[in-house]
Amino acid sequence: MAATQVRGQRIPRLDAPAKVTGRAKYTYDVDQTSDPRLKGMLYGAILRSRLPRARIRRIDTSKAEKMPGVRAVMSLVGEGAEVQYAGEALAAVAAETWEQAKDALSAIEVEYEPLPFEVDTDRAYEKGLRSSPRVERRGRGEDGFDEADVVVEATYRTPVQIHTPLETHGSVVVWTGPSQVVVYDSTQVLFSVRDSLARELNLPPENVQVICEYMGGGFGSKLWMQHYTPIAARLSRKAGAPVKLMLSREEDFLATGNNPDAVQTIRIGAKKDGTFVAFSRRSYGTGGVGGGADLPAPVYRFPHLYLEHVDVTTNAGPAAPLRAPKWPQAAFGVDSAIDELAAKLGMDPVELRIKNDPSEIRRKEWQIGAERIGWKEKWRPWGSHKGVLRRGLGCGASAWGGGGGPGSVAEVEIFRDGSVVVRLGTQDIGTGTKTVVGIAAADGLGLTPEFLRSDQFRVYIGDTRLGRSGGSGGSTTAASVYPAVYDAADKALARLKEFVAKKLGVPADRLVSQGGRIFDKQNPTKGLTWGEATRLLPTEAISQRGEWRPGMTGSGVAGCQFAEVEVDTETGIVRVVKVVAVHDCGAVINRLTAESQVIGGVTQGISFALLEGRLMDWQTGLMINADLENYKLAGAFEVPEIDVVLLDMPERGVIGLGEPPIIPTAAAIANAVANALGVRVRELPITPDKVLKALGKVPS
Amino acid sequence: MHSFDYRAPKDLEETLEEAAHWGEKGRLLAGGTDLILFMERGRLRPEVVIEVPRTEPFTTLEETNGMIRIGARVTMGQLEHSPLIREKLPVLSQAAGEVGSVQIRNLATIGGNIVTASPAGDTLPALLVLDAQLMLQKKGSLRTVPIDQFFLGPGQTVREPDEVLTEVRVPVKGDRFVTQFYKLAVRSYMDIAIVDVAIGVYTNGDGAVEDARIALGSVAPTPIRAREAEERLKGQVPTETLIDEVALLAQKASSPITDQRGSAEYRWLMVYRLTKRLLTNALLNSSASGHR
Repeated sequence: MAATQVRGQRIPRLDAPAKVTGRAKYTYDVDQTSDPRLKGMLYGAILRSRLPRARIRRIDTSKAEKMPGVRAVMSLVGEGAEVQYAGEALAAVAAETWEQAKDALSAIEVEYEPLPFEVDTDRAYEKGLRSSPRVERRGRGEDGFDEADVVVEATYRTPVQIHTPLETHGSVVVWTGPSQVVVYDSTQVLFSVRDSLARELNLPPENVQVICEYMGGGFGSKLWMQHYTPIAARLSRKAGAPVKLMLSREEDFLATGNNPDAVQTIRIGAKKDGTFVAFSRRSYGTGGVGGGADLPAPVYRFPHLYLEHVDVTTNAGPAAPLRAPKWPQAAFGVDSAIDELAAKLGMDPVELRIKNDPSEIRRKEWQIGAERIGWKEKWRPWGSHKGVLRRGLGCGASAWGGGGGPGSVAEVEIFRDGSVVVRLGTQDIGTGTKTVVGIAAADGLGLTPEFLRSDQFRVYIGDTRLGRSGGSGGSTTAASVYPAVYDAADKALARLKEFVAKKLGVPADRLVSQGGRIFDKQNPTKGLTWGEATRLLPTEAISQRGEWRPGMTGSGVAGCQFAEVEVDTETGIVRVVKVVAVHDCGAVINRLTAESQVIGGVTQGISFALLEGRLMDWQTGLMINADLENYKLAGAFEVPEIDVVLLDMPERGVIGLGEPPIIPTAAAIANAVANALGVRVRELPITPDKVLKALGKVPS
Repeated sequence: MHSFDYRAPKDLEETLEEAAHWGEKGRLLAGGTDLILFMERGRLRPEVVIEVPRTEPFTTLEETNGMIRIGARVTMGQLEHSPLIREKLPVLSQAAGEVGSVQIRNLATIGGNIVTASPAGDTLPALLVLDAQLMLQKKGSLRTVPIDQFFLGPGQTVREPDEVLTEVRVPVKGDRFVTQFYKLAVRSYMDIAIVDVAIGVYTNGDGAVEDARIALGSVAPTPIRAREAEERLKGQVPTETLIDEVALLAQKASSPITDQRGSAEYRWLMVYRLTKRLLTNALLNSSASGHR
């Protein structure tokens, strides 16, 4: 998988011009100007529970039905039903305008019987609203601590985080026949939405078409069909008109998923020389009314390991996987504790990590990262920094799978006029998949980056009418689609070569396609240009299907990050000065978008470290900051210099990179803050008041 | 959002007519960056929205006879970039430049920031330090209200429903009046202040403080002046000890609450530290410390 003329280069996104000029139509944008079938489109809206837990005594939609412009009203819960979180769907309407739909919602009468609730994780834990502990043990478990010379123990907290994709969740549905439905959906998983909706509506899957050519981000909460899609489909059928049902930002916050919080009490035992002996972690956290708050094991080598986790149930929306689900939380705990151990041992934290890291790749990465951040020159022990503004350094580790697999059917078509069309029903969740698909085809055909960006080259994705493909989750897309597209291109090229072989009088297996020419590898001057070659086609076009083939991909990546921060010890404001992110992703397909993935992960990691966190009012059971004014995300000014180092290991094949870069950022920042201050903030986000509390300047 | 009627008067006279006609049923829009949000959230439900016209005196931005006149529709972006404001009222230029985003500053106006009367309105401490005068006009009458007598509580002011804020007048105090502004927020852009502090000090040739203004935002039901602190500074030659004492008096003037942006204890401490930092920067001329 060595770099070629198109692979491993910096290829700008094929759809960048469409995106920056507004030509790209997202689910939010579609209407009859982009699809004439959407003429007469109605606006859907969902009425949601205002209470965190209640029995619905009565729900009366009769007034709403008579409101102007209202075309369909549906109750979603029966009388006597119990709702379990504020934001749970109760009823839905479709009306001619968005305002009419909202007005109709307020005309629906709901009589609630309030029931006891709990939204606070600690209080729920105390009340016993929790699962029995799930235990994992390796070696001698906690008994292994008797081999340790030094032990550190501390409790670390991370908040519930919300996915906050730029484009909120939603679907646009139009029935094109009595049993034919087309769905525009902002989704990470086209075919699963198609199959799920077909089941819900009792239709054959091929009667459901799901389209998502462009999407405004998905971090895991768009990884299955959500409740609004069948609601939109039913409203549409009832009203006899297309329905657009896009959720508001508040609905996104309350009812589309979240990343569980975690309270982890971690113990690490080590020998005097720093060799890790034992690790134990007792954790709990809430996935709301769902579960799934457990954390992964540490990536470092611990002969004895004890993990115990308890899921806490609260009256909040169910959790959903969020970019490397629970790994950043776990890394924050583990890498913070390792720095505490390093301080106690009086050891350099990077050396301590290298000593206990089982990954050969990451051991190399620690050294690269340390050099790039200037660790040797800049790092000073905890507590030695003075002055109002203090700088500190910290680091953290990352690991991920990122492999791909079968399940994609790609098509590559070569036309007599030289143009090439690539089709695959995958989706681009913002990672640059469309460009990756294009590169795979161009790579398989031996075409140039210039050809890739020309009008002669067209890539179609984002539609279930195209060849089947899997979901975009777990950083598996690149390693799943690349081999399938390459396979199709390779097969199509083989057919084209047959005609060239005949023309040149050279055996087909001696022909090579490279740099826009097909030529005899024994006599490179003997050949045809791409255009000359395709003109030999006896039909308008040839087309080949391809599937995933083994040997082109790998899995299992390692990474580490270093952060330099500056803390204003008078105000507690933390500024990230620089992040060095060293990651491996096997063979780099597109260096430009690969770097973008790392920058995106680091940015979201900074946000998690310093800003984000769901706030619930335990007295009312409501979320306090269900908007982007009060739920803060990192903006452009919070993004520091990010030095991305991608290890190039083409021999390992294509491996995904979307998730691993978010894992170590918060840990590295927390360690850098602790290094600057000499005291540690053990709870994210690291807000100014927590910094001053840690410094003992504000009472806790 | 609820349905409402929209009026677009052409000039001052028509605006006063509309305001008089609709009274409490109407709401003036001078940019709408707060008003529209409040309406979307159902916090305000005016029957009529009256858009203040982009004409004189609402768009005035000029200096006459030692007085800078700023029309109510002058945007945050204009205040941020206007050479006049940058030169003569740098503290206002800086405060305006810290409001929201570029897009918001292109739309949001000084009139809106004042009339919305948020305790966290960023330009308000700056205007308090500058002794701004507010011109409130209604059909047949005009009154001038000093800005420190304008605010009553969050979103509440002495303005009558039929009164229109036409312009803000700020006396130019000259080069010896040194000002400083600090907006404390967790995000360096597009964020609401946890604490705003503005100071202005007028020193005479002997280095003594002749007059002082210390104004605080986001730490009381309204933007406030810390008058005891100001008084303590007057007539004194500043020292570290004095500045510390003054900062403690500023702290005493505040009455912060705990909310999602910060705890009361944290805000309380920040009033002291930031007042001290700004006064030190302005009076002791030590090298500036701290960052945002």
